[in-house]
Amino acid sequence: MAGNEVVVETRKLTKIYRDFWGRQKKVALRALNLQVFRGEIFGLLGPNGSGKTTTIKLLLGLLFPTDGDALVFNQSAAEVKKNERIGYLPEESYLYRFLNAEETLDFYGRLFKIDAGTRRAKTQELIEMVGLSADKKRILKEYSKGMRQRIGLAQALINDPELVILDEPTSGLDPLGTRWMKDLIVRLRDQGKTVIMCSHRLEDVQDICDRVAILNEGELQELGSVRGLLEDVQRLELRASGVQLNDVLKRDLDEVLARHGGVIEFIGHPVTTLEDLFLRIVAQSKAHPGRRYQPERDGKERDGKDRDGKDRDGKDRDGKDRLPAARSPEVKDASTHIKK
Amino acid sequence: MFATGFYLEREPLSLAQLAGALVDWLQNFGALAALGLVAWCIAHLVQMRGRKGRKRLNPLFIALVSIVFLLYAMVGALFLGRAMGIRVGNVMPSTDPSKLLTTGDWLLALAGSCAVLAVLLPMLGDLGTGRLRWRRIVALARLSFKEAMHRRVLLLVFAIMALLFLFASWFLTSKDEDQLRTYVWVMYFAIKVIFIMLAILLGAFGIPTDIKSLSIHTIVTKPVEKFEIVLGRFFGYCAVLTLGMAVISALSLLYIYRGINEKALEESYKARVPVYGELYFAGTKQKDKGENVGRMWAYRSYITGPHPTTPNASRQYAIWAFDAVPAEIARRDGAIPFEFSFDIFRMSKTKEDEQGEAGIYCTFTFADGRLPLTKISERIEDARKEKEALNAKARKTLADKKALEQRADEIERELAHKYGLYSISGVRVVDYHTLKVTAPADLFRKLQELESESPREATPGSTRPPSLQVLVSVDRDTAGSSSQMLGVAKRDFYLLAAERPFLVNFLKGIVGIWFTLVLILGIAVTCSTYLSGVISMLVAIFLFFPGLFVTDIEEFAKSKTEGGPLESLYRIAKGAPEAAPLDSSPATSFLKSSDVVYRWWLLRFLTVIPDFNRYDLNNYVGNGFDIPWIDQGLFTDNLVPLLGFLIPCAILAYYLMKFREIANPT
Ligand SMILES: Nc1ncnc2c1ncn2[C@@H]1O[C@H](COP(=O)(O)OP(=O)(O)OP(=O)(O)O)[C@@H](O)[C@H]1O
Ligand SMILES: [Mg+2]
Repeated sequence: MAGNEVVVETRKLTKIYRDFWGRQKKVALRALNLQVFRGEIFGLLGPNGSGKTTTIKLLLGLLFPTDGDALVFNQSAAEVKKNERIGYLPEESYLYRFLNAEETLDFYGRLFKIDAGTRRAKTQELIEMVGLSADKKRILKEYSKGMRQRIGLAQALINDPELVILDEPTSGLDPLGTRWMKDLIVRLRDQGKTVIMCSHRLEDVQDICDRVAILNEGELQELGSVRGLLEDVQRLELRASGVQLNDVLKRDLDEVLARHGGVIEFIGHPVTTLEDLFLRIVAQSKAHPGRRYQPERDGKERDGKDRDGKDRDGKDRDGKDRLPAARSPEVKDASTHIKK
Repeated sequence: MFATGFYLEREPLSLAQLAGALVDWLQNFGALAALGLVAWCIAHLVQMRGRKGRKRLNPLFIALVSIVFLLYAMVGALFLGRAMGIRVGNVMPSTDPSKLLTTGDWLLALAGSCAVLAVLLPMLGDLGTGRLRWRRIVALARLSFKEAMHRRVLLLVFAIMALLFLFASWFLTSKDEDQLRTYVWVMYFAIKVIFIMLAILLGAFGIPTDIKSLSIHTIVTKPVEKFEIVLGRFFGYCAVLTLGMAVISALSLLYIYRGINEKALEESYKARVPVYGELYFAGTKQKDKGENVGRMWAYRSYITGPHPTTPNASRQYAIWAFDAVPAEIARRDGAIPFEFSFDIFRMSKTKEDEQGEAGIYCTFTFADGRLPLTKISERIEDARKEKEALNAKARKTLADKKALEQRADEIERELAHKYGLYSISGVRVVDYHTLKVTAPADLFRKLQELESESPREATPGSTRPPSLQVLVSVDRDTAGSSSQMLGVAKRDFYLLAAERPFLVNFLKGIVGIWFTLVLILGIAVTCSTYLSGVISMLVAIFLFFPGLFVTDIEEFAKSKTEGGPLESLYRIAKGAPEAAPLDSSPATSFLKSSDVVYRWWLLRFLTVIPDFNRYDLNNYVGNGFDIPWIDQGLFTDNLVPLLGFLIPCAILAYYLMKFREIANPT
């Protein structure tokens, strides 16, 4: 799906923050070389302060490079005209708080060459899409963080952009919203748009990104397709259904693997993600209004702690993503469907 | 403050002076532009140091910059040459606009034009290609307007004004005839103060708040030129201020309509269209000056009446010379009104003074401008004799009192036409009170006839004589003492060509205040493209206050034609006394020329500070004088200087915004 047309390119892009007197404060980005192709979702990863936002701001012309070039649509990032084809959702979506959702989109629409009729239609369409129809007459000051994030996204899409740049699009969204956002991003790609996003939620990135770049301390550490990066050729995973785990099975499998020179690292029932559980429960609750948690029906409080704090993929779970309401971070559920 | 009648501290700019003003502007702002170019060159060199030179500069731009530096170097070289005693012609620019332009003037103006052009070139290249879009500017302006409305700034302003109006009558106590003067003065002052604060606050904090709250990120990532953001803010706030001013003016007018009294109505509820003459003096020690009475405030000059002990000493005259009288006046019938309001200066107080109705008696003589003073006295005498004869004849033939009066009037007019002269004596003048004298229209017809017979022309050695001259002298005092002096200024006496409605004039005055607001807003917004909100506010305030005194500072700087910091240093070093002239050596001549340059720069620097007083028109409105639309009025004296400042502001704002990293506020 990703074509070969380069939409965004950086060449030795370097950014050094300086103070008023020109003294060096921080090297935020060091000689970054990147290419983003049309029609892909490109993820920028890295710990806090690694230069993700800096990269994005350089691409948008919000910052001037200290050295090197940032090219968008083959034009310099300083060029204003390129913005006609770009949508940008800032890290923190600061819009004008005295405007309501409609006025906000109308205002941003006026900055583009869109005629009044189209602008109005687009405004309604986007408000509908981000699920703020009920709140469209309220001023943004009264919005919750997630609602602001939604209107921020709508604002970024007002011009039907070819390139969408999203700085932490899922921050502040509830799991439902996160899924919706992810679906939307995938949909944008399917429409042929290019998406550049950065996020700390690795599972989100893993789910939707085609390629990722991992930055640390302003330097590119890793670049490649998600599949390619995550595939661990040293290991083998096998999933089976129709059998219960017992000692005989374990011994048999051990034998087979031993013949081939391998060894079992882990064997047990698969665990779903909290996200899946959450989504399922919310869906059930919608389907059966009045449903509530009943200890009797479920027998006992489930307390299945994951032994080594790792999920199926062996990937470290980011602690901050856990919902505080959930008593156990990961719930074992034998009956869940297996993720593909 | 408001009981001193109509006066202006300086002559308003006229159409004829605009070309000179443009040269001045090019010199001053061109020099600033050149400084900007120097700064740019340094920044460019520093930036390019570590990098491979890839950015191609416009060759025309480079050429212009080189020419600018070359021209300034030339001025410098000429100046040095002159200082060292080489004859190079006059390179010192003149500080007097009425004088001919010197070589230095031309060079500086040329260099300034090139600098302005060089600065404009990249900007026009950026924006001239139709990149600025009203659609976006209007959208941004609407946003600013909405934001201000949301903050309810206008409501606050209205609340303050309402309080003022409520208690206005407490502190607005004055003589009846001064009522409107006082109202207008207080209203304009209050409106000005409150709205200027509003303009500064709005302008200074608009963009910085946007940058601080990061909301600007969502705007500059749309296809918006950064300069459009500046313009959008500027126009949006202009709209806020305009709306506020409109409401306040309407309320003020209502307040005036409601409470104005008879006398004030007569005195200033109108817009007089005056025709002024040039004032000079005869019989005094200096031609262009009256006697000095030692008053601090030198706006008016004084003449005295004949002293009882020396009645034959030369009489002192204040003479208004009218270069041209509107042709329409001559076509009128009846009496042509002249108005005056003089100051009476008393050497000793009399009883009448204490009652506040003291007056002195004056003679007004309206005469053909070509007549010399001696001829005028002769003709007055001839006319007086003929008048007596004619009147005596009339008394014999006419018995009816009314007919007699009519005849006397006719005689007056006939004689005015015959002699090209009309004189009335014993006109009572009261301190600072607008009074009227009339002259028969026949006199003006005669002046026109004379003009068409043989047009006035400048003779070698002297300028063209005026069309009409009006001589004012003090009659012998009834009390027999000449202890009273008459203070006059150019604008104290005028031909009242027409009277227009007060309303329009009041609004013109409001437009003047509006210009002030626009200017201060422009300055505040310009500062805010680079500085933080608080700093921008302070800069705007610090520009505004000296701006109120520019005229005085300028006057002071101009009055010092000698000396300067270098000369003083030299004197101190040598231990030379203050007054002694310096020996002439190349060194001292260099010192002197350097000080000339210093003083010249000081003056130049002053012209870069906007003169806010020129927009204060309460003097016109409160005293009931029409503010001209074009010449010496709203256009030349207000709008043109406003643009003269706003254009450099816009250029500065454009570059400051362009080179600013939006996401990296330092
Ligand atoms: N205006 C600034 N002045 C000085 N240093 C800055 C500025 N903005 C960012 N930095 C520094 O640059 C580095 C990169 O910052 P950046 O915002 O790009 O990180 P990030 O990867 O987006 O981090 P996060 O995940 O927290 O959003 C950080 O060390 C930060 O402190
Ligand atoms: Mg960031």
